This record gives sequence, structure tokens and C-alpha cells, in this order.
Amino acid sequence: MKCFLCPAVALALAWPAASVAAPATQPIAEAAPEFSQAVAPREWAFPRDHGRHDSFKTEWWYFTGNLRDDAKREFGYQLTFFRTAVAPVTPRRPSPWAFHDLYFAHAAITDVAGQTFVFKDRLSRGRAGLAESSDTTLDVRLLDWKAILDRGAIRLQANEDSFSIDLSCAGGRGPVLQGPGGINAKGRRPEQASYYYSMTRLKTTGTLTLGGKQFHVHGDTWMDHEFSSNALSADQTGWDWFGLSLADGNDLMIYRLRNRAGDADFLSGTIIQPDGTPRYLSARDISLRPSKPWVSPASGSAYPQEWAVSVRGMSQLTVRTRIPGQELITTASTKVDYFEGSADVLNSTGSMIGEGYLEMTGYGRNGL
Amino acid sequence: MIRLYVALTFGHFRRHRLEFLLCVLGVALGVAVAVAIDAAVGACVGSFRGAVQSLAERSTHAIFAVDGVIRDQRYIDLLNRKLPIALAPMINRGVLAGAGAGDPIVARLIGVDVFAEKPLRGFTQFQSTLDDAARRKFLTEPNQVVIVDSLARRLNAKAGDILHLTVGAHRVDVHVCGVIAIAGVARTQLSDLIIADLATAQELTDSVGFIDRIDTRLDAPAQERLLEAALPPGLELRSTQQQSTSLEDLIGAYRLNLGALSLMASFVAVFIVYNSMLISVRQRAKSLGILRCLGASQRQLGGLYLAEGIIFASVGSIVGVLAGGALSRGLVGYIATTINDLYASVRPAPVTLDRAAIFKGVAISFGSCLLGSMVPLYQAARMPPVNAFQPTERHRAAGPAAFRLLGAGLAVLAAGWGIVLLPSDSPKMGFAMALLIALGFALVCPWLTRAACAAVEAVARPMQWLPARMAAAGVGRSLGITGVAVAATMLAMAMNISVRTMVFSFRTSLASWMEQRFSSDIFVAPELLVKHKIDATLDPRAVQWVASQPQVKSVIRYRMRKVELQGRSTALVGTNVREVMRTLPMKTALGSRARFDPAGDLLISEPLAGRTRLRAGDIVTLPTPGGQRRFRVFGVFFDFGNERGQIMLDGATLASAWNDRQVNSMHVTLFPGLDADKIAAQWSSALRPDYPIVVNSSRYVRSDVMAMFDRTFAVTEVLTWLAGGVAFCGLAGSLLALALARQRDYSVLAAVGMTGRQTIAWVLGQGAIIAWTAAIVASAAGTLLAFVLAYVVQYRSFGWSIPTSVQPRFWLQNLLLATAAAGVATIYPAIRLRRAPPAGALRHE
Repeated sequence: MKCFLCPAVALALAWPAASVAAPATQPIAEAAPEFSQAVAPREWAFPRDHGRHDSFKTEWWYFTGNLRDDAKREFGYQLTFFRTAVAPVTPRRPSPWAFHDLYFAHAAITDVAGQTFVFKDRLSRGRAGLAESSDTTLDVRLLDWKAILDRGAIRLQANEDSFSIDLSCAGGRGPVLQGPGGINAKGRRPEQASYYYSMTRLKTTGTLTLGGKQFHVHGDTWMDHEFSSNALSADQTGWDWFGLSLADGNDLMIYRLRNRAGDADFLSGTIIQPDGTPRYLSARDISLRPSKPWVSPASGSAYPQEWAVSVRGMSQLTVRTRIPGQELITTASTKVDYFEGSADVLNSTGSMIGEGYLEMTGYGRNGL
Repeated sequence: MIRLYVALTFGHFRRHRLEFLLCVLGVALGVAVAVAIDAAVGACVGSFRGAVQSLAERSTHAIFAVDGVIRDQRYIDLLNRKLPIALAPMINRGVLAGAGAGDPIVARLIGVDVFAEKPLRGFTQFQSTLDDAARRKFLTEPNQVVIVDSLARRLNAKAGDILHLTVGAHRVDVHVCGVIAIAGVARTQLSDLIIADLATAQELTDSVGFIDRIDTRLDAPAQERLLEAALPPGLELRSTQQQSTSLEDLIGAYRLNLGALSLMASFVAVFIVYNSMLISVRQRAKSLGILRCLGASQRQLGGLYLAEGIIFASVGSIVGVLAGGALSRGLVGYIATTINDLYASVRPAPVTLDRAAIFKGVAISFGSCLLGSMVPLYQAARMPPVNAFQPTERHRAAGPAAFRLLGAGLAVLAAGWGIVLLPSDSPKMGFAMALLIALGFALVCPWLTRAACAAVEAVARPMQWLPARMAAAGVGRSLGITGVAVAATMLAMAMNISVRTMVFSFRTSLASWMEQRFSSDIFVAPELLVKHKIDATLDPRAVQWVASQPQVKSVIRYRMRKVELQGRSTALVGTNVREVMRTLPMKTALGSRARFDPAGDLLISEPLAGRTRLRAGDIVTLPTPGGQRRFRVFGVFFDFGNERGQIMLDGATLASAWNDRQVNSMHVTLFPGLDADKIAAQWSSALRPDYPIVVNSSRYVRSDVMAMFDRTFAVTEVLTWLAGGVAFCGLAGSLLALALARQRDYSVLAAVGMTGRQTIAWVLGQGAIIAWTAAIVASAAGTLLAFVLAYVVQYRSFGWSIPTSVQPRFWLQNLLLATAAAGVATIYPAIRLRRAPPAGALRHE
């Protein structure tokens, strides 16, 4: 769901970002007309569609996962790449610095036992050697951070002084389209949509390094890839997103867009059933009730730490963050404060019936 | 008592208004010259420094390549080191910008990656001031730029207009996609800024794949160490402070020369103050004697003269600083022209007198006045009470003092000469040597004046030429006054002779060197380089066009780039060395049997040889993109073109080793019998519409360089004449004092029948003896100083040796000028003597 960060990024940098700044009477932003729109079902083809889509304004590749080492020590991780363009086609020019798009990346590790959360963000214009992506397969890089599809496995790497991620993901489900034909609605107008697919339960092994110590880990990864040319409407000021893998074999994706009053402006989701087929949910099917806010000392944002989730046809769920403080303050890139954290899923008796990731944005001054 | 002092001092000044004015004028002139030069040079370097600092904004350092440009990959490699340090690439070039039919103006084009800029610069974060379309154009389309509003006003351009830029070898039209306003101090210092995206700037400047610098912000020494450790060879980290003083480093020697000459005027002023106050002591001997009789202590009388010195200094400071401020406004244009001609393109800021300049002026004034008043102060304090009862002024025998001064002078001369033996290459030591020699000559002046008087007496006595004998006797008896007047006048004239001799010799050497270096017929070079000192190359098509013309017999191409030698950035010139060596004036070279090997030999210029101590036969190692490469120094050539020195090697070797086939200039030789001026004009007409280049006959280039030389030294010569003005004040003051001191003698003589004409001849004779003695001594001193300036100061400042020869015509000119000055200076004293009634003076006899 990070697509919503892109206009925020653009606003923060003041590069073309009319969507957020558009007047409230105009329900959606003035998308650059020459960009393609996610309005018709798409002919999907992989691995090509894992790659870059130049005709769309924004695009992201999003990996989160819950991992554990042999001693059952639990970790969460996030590695996300964003791309935003100012024009679908740019002139061919001699300079390798010729601008086509801008890349951002966020990486984070949650150490549940150690109650610590580390993150880093980066930004660079697209240029060979700095930030680039393939338009034929999954191969996106920002300096030495990368997500590459190599011989059927996705290799994720992000090395920093304070932590590093080096994982290999394979198998799992998907690609599963997050809407009919891959169109995922973000509002009531037809143009307010993105192309969106996920790959869930990717079997993940590799190494996390934290505080100079290496942990050999294994677990599941959830991958989202989304591209669109529209963004939030002016009165959509935040969102909540859930990506949950349940013990009964279902995967649940829910997102809620909030208006200025903090109410749900748009609510939707998908259940990915054990056989990999999706069941699309509408607002009528979903109910979310946040509680137990945690106030970030760094940003002042108050993020709910527990959510009561009701989905028609499913038993009542409670989603609870594993530790508070899983907040990214992205001063080096998007300038947005948001919560992206590992979470447990509990049933009505308090038993753990799944795990996943929870994203919350728009709860503070720098929410967008 | 204090009231008595005040009455005494101001009463004296009132009675001797003209002497007071001449003395103050002398001091003020010295102050004004120093203040004006400081302020004018300060305006030039201040604007450069301000522009560098404003451009850097929050960045504290920048990484540069020693050989000029940084490959993109070096920047990417540094980013991949993931240092916790913000880094932003930049292209930074001087360009010419014009809009419509107006004349193009010099502007600065910077290319930046706005996404890397935010931690370092605020003024490049102008995105929010542009609309979506403009932002998109700026980032993605070629030839799109944003300009600052002050430049837009000067060019009468607005968003949407087209600007005509001259960038390097090309003219190119760019689109203004936005006009931005910069706030704060930077607004004036970056008033010529054109901002482009990095890609656009690379394309406009023909430097795809390269950047000029990487800016960074280092808040702690640890960060600096971290970054320096991460830098690969060939890249160097320089602070903004270092960058901002780079022009000062560049013009350091030029500034030192100007500053030293301006201090010479103050040096002359010391003598004037000394002379004026000594005269005052003599004139008030009786008053001082009475004061001593009434109980005034030696200290109190010394204090009286100290107060007078302070009054001279105070008035001199005020008048000098004010005059310096006015003078600097006239001077700044000349100095800026010289800096533009020789060093870098600068646009001087409005001249302002800052606290430092005012303090310097006040310090010079007080320094020269207090130094000059020390001896008179001592004499006044030692004034015996018996003076109150002396009917006429008594002169102490000056002979022994003159002899002692002669000894001291010779010792100072020897000390000055000894400086050359010190193991220092500093031009400042050269100036110290010149100063000691000047002082030495000044000290021997009283003795030489006495000798001159004796000579006049010896000649005039057999001829019974009374006024001459009286003049000689008058001058000889008042050596305390006249000796100093001779010294001051001599110093100014010696300065004039030395500077003019040095400049003449330099000009002659330069002309001869130019004849050899520009022995071809036509010179072709980029307009930016020739007219604005902005680095630029020739378009290969223009080079090809020139080379293919039917009138061309041969072409020598020159390419200049930078290379690291002994840790310093050094100019590297690639050309057909064997061909060039036919006319290149060589200082030293390997033996006559040795042949220049284009692949392994190079030449170095004399300034570089001086700086690096390299000699013919030595081996130097130069870094090339392919690794270190060894070359043999084949010889050292004379060069007035680059005071920081240069290396010359074979053009093909440079092209292959540095992968650089660009051409900066061409020297074209035509077939015999062709008119170079006419052909240059034809080629210029053919090429100028398409290429921003200058095609001139070598004859024109030579005359242009000589005109540039004359402009450069115009200020120097003005300074010598100003010092002459200071000396004239001294001379006039001395003659007036002599006349007043001799008023009683004149009254007696007038009473016994001396005519007015004889009076004038007497006074004029005194002036002539002083002026001629000064002129003769100045001829010797000036010539000696010229040699010091040429062989010590210039060599140490610029690294080039200037063959210097004795120029008697400057001696003669100074003699004539001194005679005229003496004539003018004697008019008022003679009239005053003639008008004074003899009875008043006789009453005291």
C-alpha cells in the first residue's frame, strides 16, 4: 500500500505532486494526462510485470516478513523500493544523468526479543549505478540495496552500518491479483485505482545482521507490487493496511483510507484462499476498530497498537503489533512518518492464529 | 600648562599653515594609496569570495579532481561507500549569456542534481516556485534552465524566453523555464546564476560523463578524516574557505607587489614627517628654551612633539582614509581589468572601506608620523635652556652626524644585500631587501648632500658666483633639514626609476618572447578563453575548417589541461613540441646531441622549474587515466604566460595518455606573401556566425598582449608618481623652512643691496642642489632597486627572470622633473622672502 507514500514524497520534494495539493472540490488529483491509468483489466505476464512500468507515474515493490532463527528468536523485516516519474516518456539524451524517475527505498528490522527497531531510508534519481530497475523482470536497485529475481528466487539485500538484510525468497503463492483483472480501487471514481498483485508465503531463508550479530533466519515473506498514476484525493489524509497470513491457510489483505475526520473513506480487501484464489472484499464485508494508541516520542504521532478486525465469513480477529516503536521517520527520502510493523493475529480467546504486517499512516504532523 | 601647550602647538601650526598642509598632505597621500589599493583589491577578491561562499551555502567542503574534472563513476563509487555524509555533484562553468539583440554578459552556469542538493543548498530547492510543466521541463527536457531574477532583469528575459549561451566551444540556445529569486546576501553574490539539471549541464558543457566537483557538508573533523580516507587518488578535498581564497592565492604576488609599492609612498612620508617636525624644533628653539627656563621638563617638551606627531597622524588618517576611499573607486576598474586580463573573470563588488582598511590607514598614518617624530621629539626634549637667549638660530655641526649616518647607511646597504644570501624564496624577503637598500641610500644622503655642496662651492668660488656659493653654504649648513629633503626626494625618484626600469625591461623581454612564441601568422582560440579567462575549447569542426584552408602552410594545435605534479595542480600543455621548439626561447636543455622524444620527454617552464626545483634530465611521474607515467625533463623554457608554471609535452602523447583530443588554440602559419590580418578577418567572418571563437593575426595578438601589459602596469606607474607627489610635498616644505630660517640672513643681505633676482637665484640654487643631489643618488639607487625588483622580487613572485638593463633616459627624465619640481617648490619661499620687510628681522641682530 505504499503507493500512497509516493504523492507524499512528491509533495515533500515539491516535484510534480498536484494530487495532494488539489482542491477538495476536485475529488482526485489531476494526474498527468499522458500517464496510463489503471482503468481496464490488464493482460498480466510474468516475469515481465515484476519489472518497471514506465507509462505509470508511481510504482513500488514491497517486501515484509516475519522470520525466526533456530533459537525461535523472532524478527520482522521490511524492504521497499519506490519509483516515481514526472513523464511517461522522456527524451533520449546523451547524459546518463538524464532524468526519467526518482527512486526511494526503506529498510527496517524489528527484533521482537530485543524490543528494538532499526531502519534506514534512501533517495536517488534514477541513473545506472545509482538507482535503476528492469522493465522485463524483477530487478530493482538503489545503490547496493536490491531486490532481484534470480533463477526462480527473489534475492533481497540491504546493507547498512547498523544492520543488514540478506534473504532469499522462493515458492509461496501468487502472483495473486488484488482486484478483478488486477485493478485495485482506491476510491469511488474509476480512475482512482492501481494495478496491484501480491505474492504471499514466500519461503524465506537468509541472514539478518543486527548490532554486529548475524542471525540465520527463516520464515515467510509477503511481496506487493503496485503501479498507478493516481493518488489520494485531497480529503484522504491517511490509511491503514493489513497483510496477514493466518494459520487456517488464508491470507488477508485489508486497507482503509481515512478522511480528514478520521473516518473510513474507502475500505477494501482480499482473502487469498489456501488454493491461491482470491475473494475480493468490499466495505460492507469489513469492520475495523483501533485501540491502545502508542504516542511516538519522535514524531508525536499516536498509532493504534491493537485492531479488532471483523471480516464477513471469518471469525473475529485481533491484530496486535509485536512491539511499539516500529515507526519510520524518513527524513532522507519521503519525509513521511509512518508505522510499519510486525504484528500477531489473535482469535477471540487470545490464541495466536497468524502473523503479518501492519501499516499506519497519517497519524501525525508528517503523516503525509 | 596644557593650555599653554595647546596655544604653542596651534599657534605654530597657524603661523606655518603651508608647511603643516604639505606635511599632512604627504602623510595623507601615503595613507590614501595604501587604503585605496587594499579597498580596490578587496572589492575584487571580496566579490569572488562572496560568490564562492554563497554558491557553497551550507556545504563546507568540495571534492575536486587534481586534473580538472571528475568522472561520474567516481561520484557513484563514493556514494556506494555509504559514508554518513551528504554528497552532491555539480558542474560549474563561466558562460556568456545574451537574450534578444543585447550584448551578452558573463554568467555562471551550474548543473545540479536537485535531489542530492537539499542538505547542502537552499537556493536550488526552487521546485515549489515552478509549476508542474516547468518542473517537468527542467528535469526531463534538454536545454532547459532556471535563471535568477537579477540576471533576468539584466538580460531583459522572462520565463519562456530563449537565452543565447556561449558555453565552451559552442553557442547554444536554452529555454528559460523559470525565474527564481534568491534571498539574503546570496542575492547580490549570485546575481549571474543560471541553474540547469545536471544532465542538461553536462550536455551544454560538452562534458557528458564528467562533473566538476562534489559538494559536501562536514560538521566534524572526524567526518573530514573519513571522507579524505575514502577519496581515491587524484581527488582532493578543499574547504569552502580554501576555495574562496583561491583567487587571493592566484593574485597573491600581484597584490604583494601593489601593496609594497603603496607602502613605499608611506616610507617617503616618514621622512617628510621627520623633516617637518625637525624644522618645527629648529623654528621654535627659542620658545622651547624659554619653556625650559620656566620649568618645563624634558618629558613635557617631548610630550609636546609627541602631541604634534599625533595631530599630524590624526589629520593624515582622516584625510588619507577619505581620499583613499575616493581613489579606490577609480582604481577598482583598473585592478579588476588586470585580474580579468591575467587571472580570472571577476565582477568587483561596490568598493567599501571596511574596518580593516580604515585600521590599516590609521596604522600607517600613526606609524609613519610617530616614526618620523621620534628624532625631533628627542631633540626637542634635549633642547638646552640657553637657546632662549640665542639671538639667532644656531646649527649644530652636521658633519659628524652626516658621517655617522653614512656609516649606518653603508651598513644597512650591506645588510640589504645580505638578504639575498638567506635560504628563503619569499618575495616578501625580496621587498625587505629593496626596503633596506632604499633606507641605506636614504641614510647616506646627508653626507652626499654635504659633498654636493662642497663640489658646488669648489666650482662657484673661482667664478665668483655668489648665489650659488650662498645656496651651497645654506644647504650645507642645514643638513638636518636638507639632508632629509634630499633623502625623501631621492626615495621617490629611486622608486620611479626602479619601477619604470623594471617595467621597461619586462616589456622588452615580453615583446621579444611574444615575437618568438607567436611567430606564426594567425592565432585561433575560443572567445571565452581569450576575452573572459573562462576555460573553453575549440569546436573540432572549426579546427578542421581552419586546417583545411588553402592558405595554410602549417598548424600547431595546443591543448591545455591540468595534471597533478608534486601534489599540486599544474597546467599541462600538449602540442607539437618539436615544431614549437624551433622558436621556443629555452633557458636550459639537454645537450645539443639529445633529441626530444615525443613519447617520453617533456619541457617545463621557468616558473615551474623554480617552484619544483626540477632540472633538465630529471624524471617526473604524472598520473594518467591509465596509471602513472614517467617522463624525462628535456629542458626548461622561458615563459611569461603562466606564473604558476606549466608542462609542455607532445600533443599526440597527451591525446593518447589522457584520452583527450580537444584543442584550446591554434597557431597557424600561412604561405609566404599572404596578408595575415586580411585572412584572419575573412576566417573570422566565416567562422564567427557558427562558432564562438576569435581569429586574429599574431601581430594583433602581440599588440593586444602588450596593451594588456601596459594596462597592468598603469597602476604601478601611477603609484610611483603618487610617491613622487609625496616627495614633492617634502621638498617644498624643506625649501620653505630653509627660506624662513634664512629670513634674517636675507634681511641683512637685502639691507646691503642684494637684488630680487639674486634672492630668487639663491633660493632656486638651494632647491636645485637638493633636487639634483637627490636625482643623482636616485639614479644609482633606482637602478640597483630595479635589479632587485627584476631578479629577486619578480623571480620570487612570478618565477620568471627578466633581463634588466640600465636605462639612463629615466635618470635624465627624473633629473628634469626634479629640476622642475624644485623650481615650482621655490616660487613661494622666494616670494615670501622678497615680501618680508628687512627691518623686522634686523631688529633682532
